[in-house]
Amino acid sequence: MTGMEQSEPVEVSPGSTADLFRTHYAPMVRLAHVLTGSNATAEDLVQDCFARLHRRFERTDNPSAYLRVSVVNACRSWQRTRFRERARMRRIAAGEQPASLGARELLDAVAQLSDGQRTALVLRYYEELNEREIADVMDCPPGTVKSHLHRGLEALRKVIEQ
Amino acid sequence: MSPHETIEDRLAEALDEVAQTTTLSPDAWSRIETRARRPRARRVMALAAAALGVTTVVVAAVVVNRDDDGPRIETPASTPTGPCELPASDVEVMVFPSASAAEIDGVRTTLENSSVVDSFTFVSQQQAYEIYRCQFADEPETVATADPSRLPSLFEVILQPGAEHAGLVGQLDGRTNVSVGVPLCDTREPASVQLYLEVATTPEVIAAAQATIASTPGVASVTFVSQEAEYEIFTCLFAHNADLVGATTPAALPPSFRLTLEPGADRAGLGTVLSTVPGVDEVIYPSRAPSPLPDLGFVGDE
Repeated sequence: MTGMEQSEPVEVSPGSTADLFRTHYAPMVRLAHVLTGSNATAEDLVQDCFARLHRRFERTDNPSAYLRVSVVNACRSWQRTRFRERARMRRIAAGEQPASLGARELLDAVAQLSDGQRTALVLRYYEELNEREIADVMDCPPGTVKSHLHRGLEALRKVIEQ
Repeated sequence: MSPHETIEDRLAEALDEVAQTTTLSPDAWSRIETRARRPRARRVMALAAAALGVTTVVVAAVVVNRDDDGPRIETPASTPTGPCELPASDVEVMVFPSASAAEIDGVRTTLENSSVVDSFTFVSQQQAYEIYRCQFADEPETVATADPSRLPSLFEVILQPGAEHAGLVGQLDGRTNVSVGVPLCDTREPASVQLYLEVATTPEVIAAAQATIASTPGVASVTFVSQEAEYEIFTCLFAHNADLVGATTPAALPPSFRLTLEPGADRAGLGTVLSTVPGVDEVIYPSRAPSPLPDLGFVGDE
């Protein structure tokens, strides 16, 4: 399943959480999937973020921006506390490892990066955000983003060269 | 991939390849609605939160007691102590609705064969539903939306005196459709409401929040739980997982306030009001009633 048409019908009112769900749920799950490496975890985290947004929708100036930051933070938090290798083995056992051989090696290398480097790389090369936008999402200076990107790519290059 | 592609191109392709495989649950919106009505505990602390609010439950369940020949199954020896009360337990094993009979039997066999288990009580899905209805009798909308088929069944386990829980939890943790909680890791008085704060909340914000909460009508008491105290519970809960404990510091866990309310106070209403206090990130309503949330299995997965 990849399309929102397969979700249950949602009664939409302009500017509501349901409205945002229609337009942002799938992209946010994809982003979380890329960040966590787990489809099931991605849905779980994104649903939590939507639920949290729903509870404070009226008090949120920019819901879509809030949502993206929430999702990235949720993924980072999850990454920090998970037992990475075990989760990876479970993903493999569940047949959720989708990438081709070269891509898989690259993604494994991405998973070994620091939290900041991995998040910055995903936001840059999957979400295609610029450094300023990444800094906003990660709540850090643009210089830190630049450093994360540079060091992350260097680390990946070393893996590829090996 | 072409050897002429840059690392940036290859990375973008690999990430996109993963994203393209993403699937979406058909009932995602209903899950969000459910969560929005009843905020869940944080992932890491979910089991701890579930164990915090011990109230009472009536369960007529099969009880297994250990004798000299090892555990044996008995018919219910007694009905637990009062209305809405789950059996007391040192370790609680949730088995999710999607579990097969073999998976349930696997848990039962593990408990029966464990040298640290003194006795255990099985709580069926239907029994769990009765508990849920009883505990949330004051929230008819919540009860009305609960789907009994989404409730877990439970094994409430008492350990032998002085026995360590980590080995048993390690045996059960990670099994498909199974989640293990350790009530013995938090023996404090139950809270009616738990307010999680942002991880980086400053002492000044915490002090201001505590004053605001304490002066809110309906709040009987407020107790601050520091990150260090949360970490103590965390390390007990995950004593079987040295890697996870080693990778987690007190700074990664959110501090919280534990509240007791005055009799008759509107818990949900207060929670809504208190969620707006600066520094408060999430409101949790601890309960030992099994949660009907459809994806509790995630907790067990982790």
